[in-house]
Amino acid sequence: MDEKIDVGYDWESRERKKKRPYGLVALLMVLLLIGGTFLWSYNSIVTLSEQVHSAQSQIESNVQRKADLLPNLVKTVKAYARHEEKVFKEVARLRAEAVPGAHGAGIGKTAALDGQLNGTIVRLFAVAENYPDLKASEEFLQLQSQIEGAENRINITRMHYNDAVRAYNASIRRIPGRWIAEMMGWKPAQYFEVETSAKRPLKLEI
Amino acid sequence: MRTILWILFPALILIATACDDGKTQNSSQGDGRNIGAKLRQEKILVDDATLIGDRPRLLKGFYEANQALKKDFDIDFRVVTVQNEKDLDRFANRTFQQLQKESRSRSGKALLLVIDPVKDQVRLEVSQALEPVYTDAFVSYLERKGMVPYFRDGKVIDGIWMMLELIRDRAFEAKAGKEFVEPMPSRSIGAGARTEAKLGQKDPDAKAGPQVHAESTQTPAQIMRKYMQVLKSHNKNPDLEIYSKATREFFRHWTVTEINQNNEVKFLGPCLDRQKTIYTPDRAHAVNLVLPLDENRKCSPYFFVKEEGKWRLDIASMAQSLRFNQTMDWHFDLAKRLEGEGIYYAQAFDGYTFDHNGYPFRPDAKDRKPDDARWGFKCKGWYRPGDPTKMARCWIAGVWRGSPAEVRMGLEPYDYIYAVGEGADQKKNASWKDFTDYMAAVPSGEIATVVVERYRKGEQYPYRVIRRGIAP
Repeated sequence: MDEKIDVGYDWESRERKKKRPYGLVALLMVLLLIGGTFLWSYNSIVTLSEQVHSAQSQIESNVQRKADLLPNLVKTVKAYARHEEKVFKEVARLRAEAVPGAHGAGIGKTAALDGQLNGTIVRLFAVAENYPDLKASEEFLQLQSQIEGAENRINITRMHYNDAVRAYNASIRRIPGRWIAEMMGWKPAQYFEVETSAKRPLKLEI
Repeated sequence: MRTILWILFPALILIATACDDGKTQNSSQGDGRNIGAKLRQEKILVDDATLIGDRPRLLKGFYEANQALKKDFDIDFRVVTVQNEKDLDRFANRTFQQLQKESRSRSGKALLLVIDPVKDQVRLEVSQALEPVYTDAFVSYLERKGMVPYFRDGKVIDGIWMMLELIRDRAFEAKAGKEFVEPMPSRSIGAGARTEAKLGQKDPDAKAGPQVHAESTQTPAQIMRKYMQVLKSHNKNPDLEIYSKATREFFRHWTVTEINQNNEVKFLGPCLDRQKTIYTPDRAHAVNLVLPLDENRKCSPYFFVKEEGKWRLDIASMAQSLRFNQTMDWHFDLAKRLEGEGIYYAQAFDGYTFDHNGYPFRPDAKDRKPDDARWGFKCKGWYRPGDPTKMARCWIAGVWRGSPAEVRMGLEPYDYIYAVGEGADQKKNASWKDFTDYMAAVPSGEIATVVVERYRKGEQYPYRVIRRGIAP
């Protein structure tokens, strides 16, 4: 045992004091790391959530675009097929159900609206099959191309939306994302599922 | 050691020189790369379905038009052919995103044409930046009316080129109307249109239309009005009586689309009432044109020939010699202007000269031929080695602008006169006197023929050209 020279200091307590700062710094670093991770995760989830909202609004916009084409299509088909009253009554009923529109409706309602629109359009095109002059008219062909365009945009933006949802849902299932989501009350986003009856692509080839 | 270095050093120099020569040879071989390879390398034309083949002239034209579209409007237009793709719309979008990772456009303006010959589908994918200009309905219209008619005739590259021209026309309008949006990243969210390609499927109505008769009492102006009705009614019958025989043969093989006819109505309409008919002295040919030519560049001339006592449109001759620029101003193809029936129609352009691109304009008064000159050329003398003194020959030192020598015969400075006349009456090694006497003696309305010699730069021996024109 080394002899300690008494110079008025308490060596043991001085040596103990020398160890404490390192522990504190390490603790602070760990806390910073955890805090930083949480902050980064939080920001990440927010970004992914915004991407979901942005993709959703694109879908809603394209579904609304398709809905806006419907009156012209009805008018064009009616000009050639005035006596198909039963069909137009059915179409009017379907349109009435679709009245609320797509903007801000939520993805589930948007998907349902899209399905209803598809049903109406398919019905009208079935009528057009019986009228060759209608099918060959430039007005009808242009409407057909616009509707196909809207449908294609819906398909593409749906892919982007579902990709965004997948990334968002995965982020709030991982750690620490799931804890952050529980604290903030964030729920998983809904995928844009195509309705069973409309799972076949909308074929508009005449 | 020193000895070894003295041996090795020159050897190293020789080896390095040989390597350089190799590099030079390789780079000169690289310059000869064909246009198809260039299109593939730049991924402008990706022909996975080997649909387009190798047609150098058309591919070159397509490449130049594509570069012009990029340069003038910053539009990146590409073509991909694919075989038996299950979902062409998704394939087009995916391929678009991949190709646009290295976009040729700085402002996000891009178009991708995808053709699937097995599924017989064609789709034009439009970037977000171009959606306001190329709407879905408009793209569908261009495909159906502008491109598919060529596909039906089996002319794939012609159809693609026509599509590019139609895209360019629309871009021109959009630029003038300030319809282009601010630059943005190049991406597509599914805009565009898909149509059946109908490759090789002959359209039974492609050459359909009622007959339109020409009466012997009708003037060229009246025939023009009938032609206008043909265009408006989209009558594509090639055997109309208002067409000359050569024109009927031309239209039997030429793809006519409704868009072509609509464009012609658009440009002919404002010109029709202002056209004046100029007849040749023998009254066998005529030209309808709007004067003055240099102030009416959008009103192209129309040629007529009298066959079986009736005036008929000679569109075949027009297709041979007339060209149109990007703004639909007409001009001559100077190399073809006086070929075939062109020598008869040339008389209608007396008093006009042409720039090097074939655009007509009125020369300044000081450049016009004196009234007492018949043809309007200036000769200077030259001798072949060994020629006697009296055997001075003529070389054309100049032609008065707008003179018959220039307009009707196409005589040019540095034409060395070799022979005059043709057939049994041809006189070779014609002297100055032979030439001037001949040109003075050709009766008005008859064809004068001279053979001239011209020298290409750096070449020792001349090549010969036949110049023919209707004598004034």
